[in-house]
Amino acid sequence: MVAYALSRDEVVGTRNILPALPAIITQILKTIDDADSNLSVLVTYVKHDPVLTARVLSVANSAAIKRQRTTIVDIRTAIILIGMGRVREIAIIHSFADFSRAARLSNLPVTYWEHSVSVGICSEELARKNVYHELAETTLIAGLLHDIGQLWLCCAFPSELHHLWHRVFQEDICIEQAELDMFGVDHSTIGYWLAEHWGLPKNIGNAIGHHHSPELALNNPLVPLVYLAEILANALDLSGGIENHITKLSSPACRKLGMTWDADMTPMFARIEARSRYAHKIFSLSQ
Amino acid sequence: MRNRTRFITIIEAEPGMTLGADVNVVNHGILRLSLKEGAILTELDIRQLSTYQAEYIFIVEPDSRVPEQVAVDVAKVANRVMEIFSGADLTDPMLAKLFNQVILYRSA
Repeated sequence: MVAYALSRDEVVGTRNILPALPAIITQILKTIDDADSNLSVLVTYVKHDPVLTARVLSVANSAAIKRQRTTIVDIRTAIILIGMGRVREIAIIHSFADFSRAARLSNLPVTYWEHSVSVGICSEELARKNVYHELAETTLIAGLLHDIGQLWLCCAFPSELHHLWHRVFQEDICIEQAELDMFGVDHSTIGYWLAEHWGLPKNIGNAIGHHHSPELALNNPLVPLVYLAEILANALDLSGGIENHITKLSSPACRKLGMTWDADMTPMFARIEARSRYAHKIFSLSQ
Repeated sequence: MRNRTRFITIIEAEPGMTLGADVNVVNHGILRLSLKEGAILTELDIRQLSTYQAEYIFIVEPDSRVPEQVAVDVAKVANRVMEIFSGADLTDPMLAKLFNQVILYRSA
């Protein structure tokens, strides 16, 4: 018998225990198909955050020095120089760092945020590799938020979750099963409810909801992308956490993305590592 | 002396570094810049890579570790990979291939 039978209403009814989702994330998603609006949203957001402005200008000026250009002092020139995709990525990760600062929890595993950033980067990289270029930013956001249900549990049931993790390590059972035993639902479902309530696009909600059960929603490319991203982030030990374990791999999800693991994966793994290193740097500097 | 390869961002690139793999920068379907594996990066190359917004490159650099240290380091990372996959059923062909790819990558 479960100790708590959590319902959707209870979870979304207490959503305020989490900080508000950064507005830039929903604004970027709303304007993702309209380059002009997206640029305008991005410039406005960056300009209103002095730390982010400094970060973007710093990256742009590193590039400018290499091109022997004069110092860059405005955001639009910076975007032209280093590319809109790069600035958007910096803004998304920076806003996620703001979110993490607001949700600082002492009982959260130390690698929670590093893991989320790594899964975001892996998701984006897999999207680029697998002809889903147009989904790159959406997968980055889905990857960053994939474990949002765990964050909610941490806020709502801090001591219960501490016991639950102890049980996971002692009895060597999977976290989803332990959560089902205790709460009647796992963090994927809680994350799905939150995403739905926040009005995030359905494909992101589904990717969060099925990141441990991709076979149930393979028609949505975000689902296998985020699922496989988490497998890769753990396999490559990107967050260095003791909880990084691989027990199974969904063949249908791999096939859906054409990942046969036959070709040499070194270039892709190396890219993922370099990009994660860079993203962790942005994230930790922004915290 | 042994060499080792590593992926770096263009921001980290310095003149004198050696490319570990070909770089072909394609922009709007046009090949803008092509640098061959083994090329020594110059200021101009880095400037051009930045201009065409190349993000990352492979470089190769001397590995100053003695062979014994290399062996210790390789064993250490292999142990960590095995720890991560300790609960995995490696008779599953797909999982076994992923495991082999990670071991190969970590042992390079």
